[in-house]
Amino acid sequence: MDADPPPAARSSAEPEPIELVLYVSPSSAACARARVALGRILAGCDTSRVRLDVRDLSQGAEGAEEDHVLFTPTLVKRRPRPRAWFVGDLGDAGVVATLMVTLGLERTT
Amino acid sequence: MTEVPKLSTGVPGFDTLADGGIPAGRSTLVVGRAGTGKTIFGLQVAAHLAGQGLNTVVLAVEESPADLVTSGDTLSFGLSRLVAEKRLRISDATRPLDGPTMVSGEYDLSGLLHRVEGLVGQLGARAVVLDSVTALFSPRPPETLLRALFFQLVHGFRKMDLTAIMLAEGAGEHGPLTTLGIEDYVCDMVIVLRNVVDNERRRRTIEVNKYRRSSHYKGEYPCAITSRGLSIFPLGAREQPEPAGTVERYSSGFSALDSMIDGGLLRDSIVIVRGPTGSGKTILAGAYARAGALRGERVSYWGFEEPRAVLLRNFETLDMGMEELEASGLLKITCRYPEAMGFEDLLVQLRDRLEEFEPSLIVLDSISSIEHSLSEKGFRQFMIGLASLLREHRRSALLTQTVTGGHEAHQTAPYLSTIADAILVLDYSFDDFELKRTLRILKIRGSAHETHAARMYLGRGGPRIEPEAVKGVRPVDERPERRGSELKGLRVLLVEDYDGARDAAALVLRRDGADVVTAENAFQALEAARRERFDVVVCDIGLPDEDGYGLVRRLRTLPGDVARTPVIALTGWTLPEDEERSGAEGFQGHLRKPIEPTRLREAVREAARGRGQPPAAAGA
Repeated sequence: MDADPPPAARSSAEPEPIELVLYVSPSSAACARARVALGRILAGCDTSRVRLDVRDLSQGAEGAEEDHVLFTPTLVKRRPRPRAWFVGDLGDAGVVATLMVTLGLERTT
Repeated sequence: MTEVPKLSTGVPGFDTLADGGIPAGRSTLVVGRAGTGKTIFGLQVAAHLAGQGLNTVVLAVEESPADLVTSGDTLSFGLSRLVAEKRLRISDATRPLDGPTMVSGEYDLSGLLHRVEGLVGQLGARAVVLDSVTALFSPRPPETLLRALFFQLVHGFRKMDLTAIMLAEGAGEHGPLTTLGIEDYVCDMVIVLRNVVDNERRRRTIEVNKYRRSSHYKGEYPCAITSRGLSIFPLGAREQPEPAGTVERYSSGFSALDSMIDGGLLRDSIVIVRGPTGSGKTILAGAYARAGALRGERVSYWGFEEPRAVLLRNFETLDMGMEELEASGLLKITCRYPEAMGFEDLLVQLRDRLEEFEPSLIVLDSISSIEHSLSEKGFRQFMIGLASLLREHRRSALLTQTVTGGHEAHQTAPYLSTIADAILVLDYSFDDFELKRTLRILKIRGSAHETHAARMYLGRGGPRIEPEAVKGVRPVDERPERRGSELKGLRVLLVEDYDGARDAAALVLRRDGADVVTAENAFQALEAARRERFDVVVCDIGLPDEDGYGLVRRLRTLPGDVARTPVIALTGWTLPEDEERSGAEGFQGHLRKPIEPTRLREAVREAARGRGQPPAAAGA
């Protein structure tokens, strides 16, 4: 499991990057919808701090155990801590709003 | 019916119920409420499969992998070793605890299945244990999605050709089997574990509720969780091994008895030695055990009536020392209080002893002590389980049984006679003032035998048996009257449920001039005491309706002189604490069975002298 960097290593002027991992399966329609939905959410925000990694579990399940992934699609916000999990196709407006707040993102458009 | 390929589980007794094991390449659902042993079953099978070369993945949803390894190691499943050898992998499938989880819209189980696929590839795994389905689907998704997810799970495991064991939380006794209520339809086999209170005792059972395309034994079977995991007793379900083609005999330890049974007892047979308290059953059992060990056989002796020190001292008193034989490693004496353990635990201990010590002879003294600590159903299950164990291991056994209250054949469970291959009956009677012990062969399956009783003498060196028929001993009530005068004029109420002991004691007292009224139980005794005046009451403690202590308490509450009537205990309860309790409960004397005429006469005379005195602990 990734350890938190020591506080001294962080610059107060430079906010911590937002590290996201979206776990997907190629055969799943829900996963395809989640990718589209996430793309739409991020397109309307300042994503300069966002690092998104989309992992196709059929190509290898690295990180899935560490990230407690059982269902797909699952979006894991790994950083900043604490972690947060969003299971499902992100089709629910309420969950999307929560996601925005959790990620600390604001709409730019 | 197409034969289902099966895998042995390694859970003792389970494969018998399941006619060979769990279905290979299919899903088995294990259902049970909290504390029924589902996880133990899952880990036990996982360890067995991995140990047999079928590498296994355990998906730990409820507990962390570290906790599961600790649980398995505590139960000697060797999980740490199997993990280190890469034959077993426990994958962390617990829910995240360090942050929130939000669910939105549709999802499926591809994530978990891809993870399993990866592990199967790394490990070459052939089996998977999921602990548990209930935790995986918690919180519970909507019904339609739940069904789709569970179907995907089972189908996914099947596509990977995995033998799957899925654990699930059981619902109530009626209605759906599981709290989710859907899993059993999709799985090929469903096992239900229960942990219920029956007759104030906790009882564990296992049931093969469903087995698609396979025969299996139906109904609940007792099981126990031991220090080595779950252990099941298939009782009558177990197939009996074919009897040996040749008849082998071994010595009972008494050449005279051997000659009465055509050369000796039959190997692999169960002998019941039946008789009233004081008839010499324990001593005979001890002599049988000693003889076996002395000729080099391994003997396991289980005593349920006395503490070990008392049992050894009693044998020592008769020059039947056991210490040397124990030191030689040929004899193991184990004493247990059956009241302190369930019968399943006792069967587990017996099975462990059979497997570890490999005795050829087993002695249980007495099965009546076990009977008293169990319900009728529980004792029946114990006896069937015991017989299965003995027959499965092809061992010879001698079991003692105490009979009370009348002719032995009329008050013993019929299935005991069916289980026993041979029944020896011990008894005693009085001819004048002489105590006569007898041994009779009631039945011996597959062998000719002497039908007349033999005389048995107890003394230093143990029992001695003389095979000549007991002749000329008339029933006690036909014996000539030859009254003495030492108890003349005394009225004695004699309370004793066993016919032989009652007749013998009545004879002794009448010969000395006492006027004796007999009662078979506490109720009859109280009726007699209300009706007539007695100088002394002689009373057994173990009575069928109420024990002697209760009877004394009731006597003390009756109006008039009867409340001060001295009472003497005449009993087979011979431990020092039994004697102390008699005194505390208000008995004026404590006599041991079998009856010694002189002591009985003296005790009655002594008690009669002090009648009318306040009892020691009236109503205590």
